[in-house]
Parts: sequence; structure tokens; C-alpha cells
Amino acid sequence: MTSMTNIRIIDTATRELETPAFFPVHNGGKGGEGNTPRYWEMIPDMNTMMINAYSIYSSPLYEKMGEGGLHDKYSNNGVFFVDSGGFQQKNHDLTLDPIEMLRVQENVGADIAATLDLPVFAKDCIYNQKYSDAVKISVKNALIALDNREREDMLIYASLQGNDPIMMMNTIDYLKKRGNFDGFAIGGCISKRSDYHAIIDIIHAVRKRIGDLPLHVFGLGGPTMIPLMVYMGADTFDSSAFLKAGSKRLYYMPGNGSIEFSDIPETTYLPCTCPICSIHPYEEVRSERKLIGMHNLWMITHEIRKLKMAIEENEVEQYLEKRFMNSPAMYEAFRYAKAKKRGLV
Amino acid sequence: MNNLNIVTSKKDYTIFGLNANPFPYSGIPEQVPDIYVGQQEVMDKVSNVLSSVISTGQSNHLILTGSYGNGKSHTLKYIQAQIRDQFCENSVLKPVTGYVAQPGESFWDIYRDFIYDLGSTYLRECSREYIAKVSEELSKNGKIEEDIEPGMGWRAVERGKVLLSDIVPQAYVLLSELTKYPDFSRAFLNLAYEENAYTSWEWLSGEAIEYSRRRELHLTSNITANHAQRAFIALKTTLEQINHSPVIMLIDEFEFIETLQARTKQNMLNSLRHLIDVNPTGLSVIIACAPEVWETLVAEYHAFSDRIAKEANLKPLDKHSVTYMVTEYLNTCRTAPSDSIEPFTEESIQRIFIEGNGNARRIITICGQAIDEALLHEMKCVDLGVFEGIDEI
Ligand SMILES: [Zn+2]
Repeated sequence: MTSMTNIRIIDTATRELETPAFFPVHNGGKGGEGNTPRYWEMIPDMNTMMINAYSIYSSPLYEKMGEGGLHDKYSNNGVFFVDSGGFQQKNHDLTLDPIEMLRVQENVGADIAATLDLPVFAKDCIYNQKYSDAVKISVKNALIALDNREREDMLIYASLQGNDPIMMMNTIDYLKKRGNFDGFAIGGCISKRSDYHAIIDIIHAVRKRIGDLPLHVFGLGGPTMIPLMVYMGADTFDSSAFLKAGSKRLYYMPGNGSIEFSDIPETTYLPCTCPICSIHPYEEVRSERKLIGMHNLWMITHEIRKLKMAIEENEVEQYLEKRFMNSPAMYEAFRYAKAKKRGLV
Repeated sequence: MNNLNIVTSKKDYTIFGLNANPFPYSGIPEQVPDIYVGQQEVMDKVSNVLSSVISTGQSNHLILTGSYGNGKSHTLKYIQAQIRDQFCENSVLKPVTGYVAQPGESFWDIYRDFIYDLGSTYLRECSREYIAKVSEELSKNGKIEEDIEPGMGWRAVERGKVLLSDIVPQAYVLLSELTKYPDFSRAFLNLAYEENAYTSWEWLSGEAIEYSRRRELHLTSNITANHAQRAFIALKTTLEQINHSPVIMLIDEFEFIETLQARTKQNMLNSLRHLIDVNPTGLSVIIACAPEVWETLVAEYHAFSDRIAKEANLKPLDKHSVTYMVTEYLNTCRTAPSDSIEPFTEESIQRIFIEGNGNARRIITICGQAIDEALLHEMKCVDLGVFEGIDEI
């Protein structure tokens, strides 16, 4: 019944990566330090990173990086997923060259590279010429990347854009007819993040179409969304939400969604026993962004562990049933997902 | 007081050589009738009208009169079934027939019944056919790089031969130019996509859709009474693009308009007249109406009745037709068809003919009851004896 929910092994140039797996987004910053904590040194399960080709390229980091690339700079045994910069392209109104971005991905030693896409937003529709053009350009860029790859050991995932499952499926068919991609990555989900049904529909449709190839979902990776996406057949995710800046100070509650720090009653203890919350008192965690980020990553790690156990025991549905019991919106989404998988909706 | 005794075991009709009672209890024939008897003259007229609109493309309309029970609904449904049968999937021409059970209060009601009868599955297929047609044209004119073999249709989309994002915006522009109704064009094309299909279908069928849902599909306003004509014409124009033509609209129980207030009735007749006037080609309206109501319409509203050139009148069934009809119904439950009227006898058929007064619905009801009565009394055949048991039918 849950055949689309599997533990998969992705064979990357660095090492085998077991899924489901999360890629924390490294925000680069000047010199590549940014404010991302060195989580990979502390969380063995989290030796992965999502980093953006365009932001590397446009910072001094690219010059300084040298032969060893990301592996030398951060972690030798780390699996690096290098996104192309499509999002930056849209936000900053740039036109990036797909081959140029591919070379950056190759040069920095990406294990997985996503093709250069042009994101579309949930409100866009196909009658909008700009939207259709964006989908077309993403498709063409994906094929260009495949044709021009120089490093055979770097996996290339085709980035998918679109708002309708049928359109996504059409895009996949079109791409599969013309090239052998190592995996697929769904973009544009951030703008749909509160529309669970749309996300479920799209992951479901894409998974059905790509067979057992790896499937990544861009930009979504909170501890509540991960189980739902895995259930629908997604393998890997990335997100920067764990480290979201500003006054929010989002703290993932163990096993139960997230909460803004200001909503946690001020006490001596935090409701968590991860290595961060065990050592640091409330005040310290609250005031230190990196600490909250680290705690959040521990929560994601914990979530993925529990999921893997459930997958191995073939009890994913039972697990999710319990997992979402206290969250009416997620529970409803899960029921919809279940019906979707059974072909009832 | 008698006890209510519901028998759940199936009755055994094998004693009569039948696997079930062939006669529908309500006397109303099934949705897709394949038994039609005794109205050759009517069928000839219908064939004439439809043949002319199908072969020449010139619109042609017909009024079908007949008293209650003479089979007006049955005739309309039979016409629909026959057309669907004759012009199946591979036919070049695909006439579109929609059945409207009752005219309602305005053309809006007619439109909704009509489109509902066509159904969402059919219209979705049409939407896909249209997109496929545009793909082929774009490929032929070199507007897209992919070569699409003619006739590949929607499969070109499903197999990833073309990108929808290459086709749909173009299809939308072309269709909007033709229909002059952008909302309609959007909703129609959206039917091809699973995600939006439901809302699009609701919109097309004239449901009131709240703004927030409409906005998702970029639809400005709903199809209201004011837009129904426009929507119908847009639909007809669209379907013509994929050779789904002519449009045959079957309106039943037209006598219902007698219950409307004078003003409403006038509006209804005007809008039908308008519909006929603005569609000189590709349309056939067949209206079934009680003869007395039609007579008053002819007398009082000839601006409307003049538009309908032909009239066919359903007559009560004669004895020969009754025998033929009974045999045909029996054959539906026989292992091997035959010309025999068994288990009925000559005498019982005569009696049924007289009691039924040539009214098909009534005759079917009597036959069904007679067979059950004969079975109940363990009679060997349905002879005059059964009519002792049937007090009142
Ligand atoms: Zn913690």
C-alpha cells in the first residue's frame, strides 16, 4: 500500500546518501561563512548541505574556493546539493546562463545539481504568457544542462515548474523523452506551502511519473511537512526555515509543530532534551539564533529517524495517524493524502 | 390491518422462458432506449430534419406533439441514442445532442440542463481534442519545433511530445477570438487539466461560483441568465472547431411554459426565437409539447412558432405495434430472441391493446403487472384469466 514511501540509496560522487534526507540551506554570505552554524560537525545524520550556485558565483567565495571546492571548505564527507539560482534570477530580475551555472555547480564539486529554472508562483496561470515562458525556459535549461555536463559523477536533477499536476506530468514526459536525468526536483512549492492539497497533488503526480528516480522538493522541510511529503513519495528536501531570521525566533516543538519563542512561557527549562537545549538555558537559546537553528535541526533529525523506523516497519500510515492526531489541519491533509494514494480523490 | 410483507427473494420468471420481468414497473423506459415502435411517420420526419441539418449544415427545427403517455420523452431519448450510435467515435461528423427535461423559467435553465446532459467527461474530451488540434496546427505551421503526426491528438501531450505551455496560451488566444468570450474559453480549456476541471465544469454548467474560487481560474463573472445565450453560442462555436456539429437540442415537456407567468413565458419564447435567429447554421432544436399547448402557441406566438418549420405528431399505438412492442420487450429477457408473444396469448394482447388505449406507457405497465399476476397464480401463460386479478391499473 505504501509502495511510494521508501528508503532509497542515492549514489553520489562523495558517498551513498540514505533517504529521506534533509539539506539545510547554507546561506553563504560574504566569504561563505554566513550565519549558518557548523551543524555538520555536530549532527552526524545531517552531513548534507543545500547551497546556491548563483550566490557562490556572485561572492568572493567562488574565487577563494580553489580545487577542493565545497568539500574542502565545509565537509569532506558531506553531500552537497547545489541549486542553480533560479529563485535569485526571478527575484533580482537577472538572466542567468544555464551552462555558466552548470560550470559553477561542477567546479565547486556539487554532488547533486539542479537545473536552472524560472520559478512560477501559485497565482500564475498558463494563460499568462510570462508563466508559460517560464515553464518553457525551465524545460529548455534542463535539457541544455544535460547536454553540456562535463562531470559524469555529478547527479543532475531536472527542476520542475508548474502549478497543475497535468502540466507537471506533461513536462516530465517531455523531459524523459529527451534525456536521462538522475532525478527530479519540484520547485515553486514555497508559494503553495499552506495549500496542503496542492502540494500533495503535485508530489503524487510527479512521483507516479518518474518511477523510482530520486525526488527532491525545493524549499519545504519543516518537521511537520517532511513526513507528509515522504508519505507522498518525496525523498529529499531543503529549507532555510530552521534558521529564519528576524524577530520570529521559530522554535520547533518536539513532535508538535513550531512555536514563536515569544509564545513559550519563560522558564528555566526548555521542552526539549536535544544537545542544545540540554546544555543551554532558556535565555541563551532565545537570544542566540544559531542555537535555535541547531535545536531545530535536531528536531528535523529526530523526525527523519522516526520516519525511517516507520518505513522499515512498514507502518508509515500508523505513524502519521499518531503524528498528526493533535493537528486538525495536518490530519485533514493526511486523510486527503491517504485517499489520493488509494486513488479515491 | 395487513402486515407489510417485503419479499427479498428474486421471482423466478423462467417458467415463462424469461430471466426477469421485461417490462419496467413504472412504465417509463430506460435512459437509453433501444425499443421504439409504431411511429414510423414521426421517425421519417425527424430523419428528414436531422439529415438536412447534418448534410447541409443549415439549421432546421421540429416540434414533436403527442398526448401524455404517447412517448414524447421516449422519442427524444431514442433520437439521442440513435444519433450517438450512428455517429460514434470514428465518425468525421460528431453531432452533439443534449436532452433538456423541461424548459424551466428561462433560457438559463435550458442551457444548464443541456450542458449537464452533455456531461463533464464529454466536454473534457472536447477540451483535450481542441488542444490537440491546436498542437497539430502549430506543428504544421512551424510555430513549435516538435513534429506531431496528424491524428495523434491528446496523446502528443500525454506522451510528452509537446509542452502544454507551448500550446495552451495559443489555444486560448485562438479560441477567445472565435467565441469573443474569454471567460468561457478559459474554463473550457481548463477542463483538460485535472486540477481545475471541477471548478471549470461547475462554472460552465452555470453554477454560481464565489469570487475567490473563480479568481483561481481567472474567471471574471459567472454565467447568469444574461450570459446563457452567449455561453451556449460560445459552446457551439467551440465544438464546431473540432467538428462536433451540428448541435441538436432536445427539449421535453414544453407544455410546462403554460404554467409560467405571461411575462416569463414571453421572455422564454423570445430567447428561443433569438437563439434560432442567430444560429442559421449548425443547430437543430427539437421540442416535445402537448398538442393543445402547441396549438395556442401557434395561434398566439407565431413569431416563435413560425421559426419551427416541421411538426410531427405521435399517434396512439395500433394493435400491430402493440404486438411488436410486447415481443421486443420480451426479447430483452429471453435467451434467444423470437417472434413469439408467449407467455401472452392473442386474447390477452387484444385486451391489453384495448385497456392501454394505444398509450405506450400504460401498455408497458399493464404487461408488467400481468406477468407478475400470472406468476403469482402459477398460471402457465398470461391469458385473460390474469385480468380478473388486476382490479385497477
Ligand atoms: Zn532542543
